[in-house]
Amino acid sequence: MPSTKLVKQRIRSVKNTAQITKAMEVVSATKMRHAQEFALRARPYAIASLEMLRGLLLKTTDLPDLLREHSRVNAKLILVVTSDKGLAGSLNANVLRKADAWIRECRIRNTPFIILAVGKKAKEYADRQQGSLCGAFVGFGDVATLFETSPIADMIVQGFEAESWGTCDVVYTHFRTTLSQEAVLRRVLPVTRAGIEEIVRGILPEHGKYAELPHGDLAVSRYAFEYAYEPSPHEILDWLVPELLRMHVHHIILESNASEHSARMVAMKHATDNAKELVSDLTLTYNKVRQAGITRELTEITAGREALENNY
Amino acid sequence: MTLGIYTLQGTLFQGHVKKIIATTTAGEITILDHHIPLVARLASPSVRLVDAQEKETIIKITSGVLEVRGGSEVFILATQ
Repeated sequence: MPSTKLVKQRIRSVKNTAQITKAMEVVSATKMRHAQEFALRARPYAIASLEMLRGLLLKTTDLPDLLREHSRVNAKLILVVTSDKGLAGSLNANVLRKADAWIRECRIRNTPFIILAVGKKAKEYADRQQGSLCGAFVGFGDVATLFETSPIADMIVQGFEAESWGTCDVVYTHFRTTLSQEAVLRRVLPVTRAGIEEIVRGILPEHGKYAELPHGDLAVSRYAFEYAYEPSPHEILDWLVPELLRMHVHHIILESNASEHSARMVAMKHATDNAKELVSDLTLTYNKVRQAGITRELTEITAGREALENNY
Repeated sequence: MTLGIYTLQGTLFQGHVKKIIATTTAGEITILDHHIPLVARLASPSVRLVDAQEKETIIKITSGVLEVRGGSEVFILATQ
């Protein structure tokens, strides 16, 4: 039997831990809401740009390079997006597992691949994959600004134009709902209409507070009548497509961030629950030990008294 | 006409205006009600809006695309 002092000490330390995890849970919940709100601001832009892209694609056959696959370039780029910090359950492990599968496939097919890492965990992972890391971005704040995320998109475009890679995939955590996030693999480059539609849809979580939208219908055909283009559809696409890619990358990072906070919130909730359970178990042990002590002392006293009485 | 100016970081303007004066890559244009459908590339420095009370608002942009849709709806996608 442990001493009551030891048990008491353990109870106190577990209670302290529970307090910390509870605080982290609350902080993550607030941050998650903030991150979601921030991600939603891009939605009107995303919807308008998608409709514009649809119209433009109908008018021109001369597509910008970013919309076409390089047939000559064999190498592939993968953008791995994780968080900087841990303590978020299996969030990063899931992303890295997806990335692992992608890399394994490349190795089997003997395709050269390049990794671009976002987040400390991704960088550590990429460092372990012999010499294929081409860049790493770490230390984005809780709400990354366009100013911070644009260099990533620009780097992807530059490499594509310089024919360093022919396609770009991304592995990140898709924010489905507050309670469920999943690691997904998506094609970023060449930009496709389906890909853009996916982002627009992805900006809203599937359920919960921000799921409702007044103008959620994406299937609008306004392009039946004749448009004037100034200077030409092709030049407008030249501006629009890199802009869409920037939006895509920006959104992926915001979404990963929201996922990180919500995963941490859930992980911390579990930790708090476990700590509470432990406290109640330990309290039971403490009471038992205390009672055992009292019983023992009583027995000793009674035995002592009896021994004394027998002497007389 | 109704106008919405959007950037990735948020909505810069949303509401009714009488007149939009914008600089496109080909020169300055003014858009009034019932303009023909148009898509144009915008250049810096700004878009000027005039509302029904003749009040002028200037919104700074660095580049963008303007789209006039049928039904006097105007969308501007901009970067700042």
